[in-house]
Amino acid sequence: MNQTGIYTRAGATFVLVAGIFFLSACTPTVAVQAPSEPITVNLNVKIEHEIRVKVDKELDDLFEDKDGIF
Amino acid sequence: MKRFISGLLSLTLLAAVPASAITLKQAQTQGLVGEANSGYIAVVNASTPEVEKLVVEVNNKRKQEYASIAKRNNIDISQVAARAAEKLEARLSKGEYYQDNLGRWKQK
Repeated sequence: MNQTGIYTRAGATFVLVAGIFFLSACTPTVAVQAPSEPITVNLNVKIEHEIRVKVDKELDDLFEDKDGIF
Repeated sequence: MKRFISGLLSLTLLAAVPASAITLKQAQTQGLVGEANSGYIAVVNASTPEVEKLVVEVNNKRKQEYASIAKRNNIDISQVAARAAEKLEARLSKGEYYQDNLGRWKQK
């Protein structure tokens, strides 16, 4: 009875220590979340580029149509 | 008779041009006005009431057009005007005036 108690305690300590090792080993993996931000920036740049292309086209049409003021 | 009429017609046309003020193209070719870096035109050197009037008229019309493009694309009118300034500078003929980023007049 006493013996099993010791074993259980040893086992629990092992699990705890292993758990801490696991946790500490896992910590760097959490940092992988960072790249999500640059993707958002990229998306914004793409949208801005599309607007720019559209505005450019509208301006070109305008220059053709309203010859007297451009 | 036909010739007389067409002659009369061309004479009235000729007379009509100076009466209806100077055009933008004329003013640009003569170096009176230039493309400012704002997307609008401005007087380059000596100003006359006629040139002044042209500048105001053209710029008012441009402002309306820029505003409608800005509204359609949900951006600020100044962004449209700035883009227009770049494109207008590129479109100028040799010898015509434009303003650089620092506001100095330059001849293309």
